[in-house]
Amino acid sequence: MLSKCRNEMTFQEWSLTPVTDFCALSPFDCDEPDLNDYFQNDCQAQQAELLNVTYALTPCGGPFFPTALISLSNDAIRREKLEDGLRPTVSYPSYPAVKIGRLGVHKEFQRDGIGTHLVNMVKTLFVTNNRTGCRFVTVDAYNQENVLNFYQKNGFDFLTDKDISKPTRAMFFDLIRVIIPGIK
Amino acid sequence: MARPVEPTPILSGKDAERFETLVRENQGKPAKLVETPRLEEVAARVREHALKMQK
Repeated sequence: MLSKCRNEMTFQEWSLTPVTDFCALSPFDCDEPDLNDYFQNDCQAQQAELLNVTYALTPCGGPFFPTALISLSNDAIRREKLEDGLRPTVSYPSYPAVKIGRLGVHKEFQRDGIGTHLVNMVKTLFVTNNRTGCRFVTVDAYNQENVLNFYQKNGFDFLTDKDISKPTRAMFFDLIRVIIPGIK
Repeated sequence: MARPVEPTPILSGKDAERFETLVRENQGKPAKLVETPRLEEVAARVREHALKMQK
């Protein structure tokens, strides 16, 4: 029997749940027009096409309020053949990953650790009780100093320098490194 | 329509080497979740804000 709750998670009194009622996202405003546009207009259609799933982070208790939103999709880190002499870490040319397409925190609650808590929950979600293997978290991060600093603080690294002058930069985090108290 | 999410690049040459090296080096370096000490206080503020919005 499928569980309705499988993709839900509660951690330190905050709940991460897949969005099903997109009208409930109307109070969300992260002060970034492109992100607001995405969460208000695009994510529902993309979810209907099974391209991603959007999750809302809300405090437990009290009325639903989308404090932070994140859209996740399946991804992979692929590499072409390595130069002779460099042995790959694993014998696959493609590593399974989950991609953070967009992440936003409501403007009233930024710089309070909510984005980091959300990333912590995603890391936890994908190293516990997974149906399939998932080795990395990837992100298409806005190429802005505060955004890149945020992901670096959360252990992400750049995949390439080729996108250094592009509007977004590809970053990754290796889930095999995660230590979750009480889990491993 | 918002800016489309860019596909993750396929790594080649130096990028692929750097990636493999980083992954290998970091395997012995466990990463704890980053601490977020103000969650309880923020949750209370969010609940208050949500109630205000309902009125």
